[in-house]
Amino acid sequence: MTTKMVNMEFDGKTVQVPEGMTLVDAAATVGVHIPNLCHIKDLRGVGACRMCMVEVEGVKTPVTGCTTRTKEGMKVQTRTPKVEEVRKFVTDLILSFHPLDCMTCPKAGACDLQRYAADLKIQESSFGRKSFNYPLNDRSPFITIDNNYCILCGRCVRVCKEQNTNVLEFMGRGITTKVSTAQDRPLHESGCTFCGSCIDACPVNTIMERDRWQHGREWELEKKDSVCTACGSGCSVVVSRKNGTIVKINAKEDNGYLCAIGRFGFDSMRSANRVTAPLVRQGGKLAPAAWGDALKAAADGLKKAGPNAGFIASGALTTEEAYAVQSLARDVVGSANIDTTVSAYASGLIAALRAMYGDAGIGIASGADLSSADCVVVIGADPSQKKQKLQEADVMIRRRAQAGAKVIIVSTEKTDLAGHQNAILLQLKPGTDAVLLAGLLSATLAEGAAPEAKGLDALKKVLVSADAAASASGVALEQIAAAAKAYAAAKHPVVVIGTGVSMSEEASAQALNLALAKNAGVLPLLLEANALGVMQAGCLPDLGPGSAKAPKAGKGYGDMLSGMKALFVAGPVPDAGIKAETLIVVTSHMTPLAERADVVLPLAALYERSGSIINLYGKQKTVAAALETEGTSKDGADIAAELSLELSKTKGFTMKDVAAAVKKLKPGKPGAASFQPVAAKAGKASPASTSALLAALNQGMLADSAVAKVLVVRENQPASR
Amino acid sequence: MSQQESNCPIMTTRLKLEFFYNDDSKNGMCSKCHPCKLGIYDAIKILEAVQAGKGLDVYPALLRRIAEDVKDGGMCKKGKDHADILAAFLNEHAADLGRHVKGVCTHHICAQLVRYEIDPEKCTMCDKCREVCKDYAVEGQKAVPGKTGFTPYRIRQKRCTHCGECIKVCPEGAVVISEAVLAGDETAVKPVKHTVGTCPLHY
Repeated sequence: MTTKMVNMEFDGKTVQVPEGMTLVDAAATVGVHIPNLCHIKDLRGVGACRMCMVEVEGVKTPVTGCTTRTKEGMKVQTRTPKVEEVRKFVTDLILSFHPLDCMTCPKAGACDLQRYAADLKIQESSFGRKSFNYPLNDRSPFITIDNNYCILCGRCVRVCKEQNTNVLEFMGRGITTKVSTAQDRPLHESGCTFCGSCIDACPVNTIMERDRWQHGREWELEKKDSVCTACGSGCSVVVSRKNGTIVKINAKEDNGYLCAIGRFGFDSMRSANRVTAPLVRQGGKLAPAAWGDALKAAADGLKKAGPNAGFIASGALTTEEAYAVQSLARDVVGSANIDTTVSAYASGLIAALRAMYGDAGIGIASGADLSSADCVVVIGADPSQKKQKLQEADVMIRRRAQAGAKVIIVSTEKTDLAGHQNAILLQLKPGTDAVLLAGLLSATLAEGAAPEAKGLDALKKVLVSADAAASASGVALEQIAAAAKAYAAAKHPVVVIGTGVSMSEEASAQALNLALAKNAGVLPLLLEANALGVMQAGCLPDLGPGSAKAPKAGKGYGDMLSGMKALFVAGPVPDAGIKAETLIVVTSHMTPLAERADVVLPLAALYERSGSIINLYGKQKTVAAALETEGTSKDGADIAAELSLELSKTKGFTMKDVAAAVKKLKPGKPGAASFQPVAAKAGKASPASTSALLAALNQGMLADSAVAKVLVVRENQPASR
Repeated sequence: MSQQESNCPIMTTRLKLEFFYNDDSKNGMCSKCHPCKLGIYDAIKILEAVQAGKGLDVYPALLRRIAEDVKDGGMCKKGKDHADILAAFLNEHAADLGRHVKGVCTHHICAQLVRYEIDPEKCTMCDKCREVCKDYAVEGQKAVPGKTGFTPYRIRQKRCTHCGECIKVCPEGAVVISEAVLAGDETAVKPVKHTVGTCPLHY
């Protein structure tokens, strides 16, 4: 969406800002800071703290900058005596009940109140000192709430509500208002998902990471922008470290989201089950070995297998690593058998995308913009904050739903998202996805959707009517009609395709047809951080780098699980009965699969290696190393390069070659789409379950993490009273 | 609400603000914007301190600041109206507030700023006030006709809580309210060294 720019004046400086933005946000885009304590970027302002008061020419009284929107020709004064006096007054009042212990406060340096008190030259409150002696709420495992510091801005309550977690709420009224949970219970008994959005939102020291106290002042921390690769969302993070260890992780964007695993799961980098040295099987047991010996053992196995060697690259590898692995397979070993774990749960979807949009169609996700969607169709996916899977996608969809967008859910079970008031649940019998989607499509066309893409007539011939779909799938006809009406009326719809249908090509194709009928954005809900990047780097059986056809098509993921002479597995891969004569596992953490391996090569963990990824929204992001590698573990591209040199001095490559090749790598453009006339009939139920898959993928990394322990403990607890 | 119509403007204003602050109906404070919920709370606390005889010279200026900034910075009309109430009080009763800060309530309303005393000329020593006093603040002996030498009735100020029961029962109107002697005006009594059996002040 393009926004109209308008001319405005901030403090006599003429600037161009987007129309309809709040004054605080608009001023920030041109480098003018309007003080504020309760405003959060992109959220509807409430005008509670009155710090953002500005004077607008032509308006008699000062107005709040967080609730006023930009307009053409507006002239804003942000530093007049009148508004400065109100700011001083508010800060003065807040300081009269805020503990003045900046000397030991871990927030000092990043505290908004401290900053404004300094700006407004307030040393001490002129009002009477008050203290309410709230008990410290440190009963929950990751987050402490100290209400004595609370300045009642309500940011935490609003972010919590906005992402529909609804855990924090105000209790009481007036100055003795307290941010708390229902019935003042500990967070872990109140349905908190420990995403920690409230930590990022809190301008002072009230809501904090539990072990933050005495772990470095704000200015002692080295901060580095990186990306979390624990799941497909690939969220941008800021890693803060001190003395070589991670102290905390925050979301990078204002009002960004990070889940508990991304924010508190960093203890897994130094957990006991890290693989820190190469292991080689000797006499039936894995024993530590020197890098040279381990590489030689691996190279021997691969050399012996030759074209019969198989390669599986995890979707969590960086693009560089994936490119190095496919280069090792195709150019050095001479095997065409290479695939990625994405095929384990989305092979049908990949095939459907390629049939519809051409070979470059796998990168289609970049066209979908969830942040402006007014109707989201969630097909076969259960993103859920409570169940700890694809939390970020759940938050994005819920944010839209909170803003009034309709959410249509096609699923075999009642998903968490279906509980939202704006959700329409189409709960179908297992295996009837394709039929129901065809019925929904014909109902949408009947509602008056007029797609421009070709092939509609051919599709109409095989399309199932809504009646037939209703009786086949067990969904009420009115539900389908309501969903079709909402979908047909949408202006910016997005179709989210999850693992419930992504194994079936017919269902996926029907879902893509449905998206094309409204020219909707397509968002495949892939589980791994770099699923798209790994595929574009060439880790598919018949596609090379840049979605170019590979010279020779090899075996896919399913065929490689057993009967390969040698199997090279890089990154976290589910242990689905993988068997091979020589099993080489490159992993950062010990997994059941690695325990069965012949050679285990230590991979540097998340935040220890650098590279680039493309997350499920199709955004290219740069992963930066924030930690020293543990033991002798190495970057995946480095391992592949050294292995290639061990195999062949002439064909081998170095990390530099990989980096240069990836720089040149250009993702292909998806072609013009046409409808796929796919006959819709009921088939087998799709077996893949997202949580089981995600658990299998992150098994090694999270096995020892406090996050996993807490989440498991909570799952076993009875539902909160 | 009856006390809101009392004569002392300090009391009236404080009760009005307190009623607004504590009222959780739609007419009360919405508790959303900072100047109102924090400012009015502080105004109440300041007026309370003044009424308790702990007034400071800066208080009138602080109240003036609260009134102006809540008016300027407040979100809604309800809050601004109460800022106006405070401002009107400051304009009309500045002198009265000044006296209160000094520790004098000329309206004889603010409990901590007044003394209850028994006028010995009117007192008939009927003992009714001593019986009714729940704080044992009234001292005296009931007069028996024909006898003399009774201790006159008086009120021990440290015990008196200004509850007003004695005024109600006194048939002669002998219990009177007078303005308190300021703590600052009292001549400080120097501690005197006592030796056993003697009092240097001849008591």
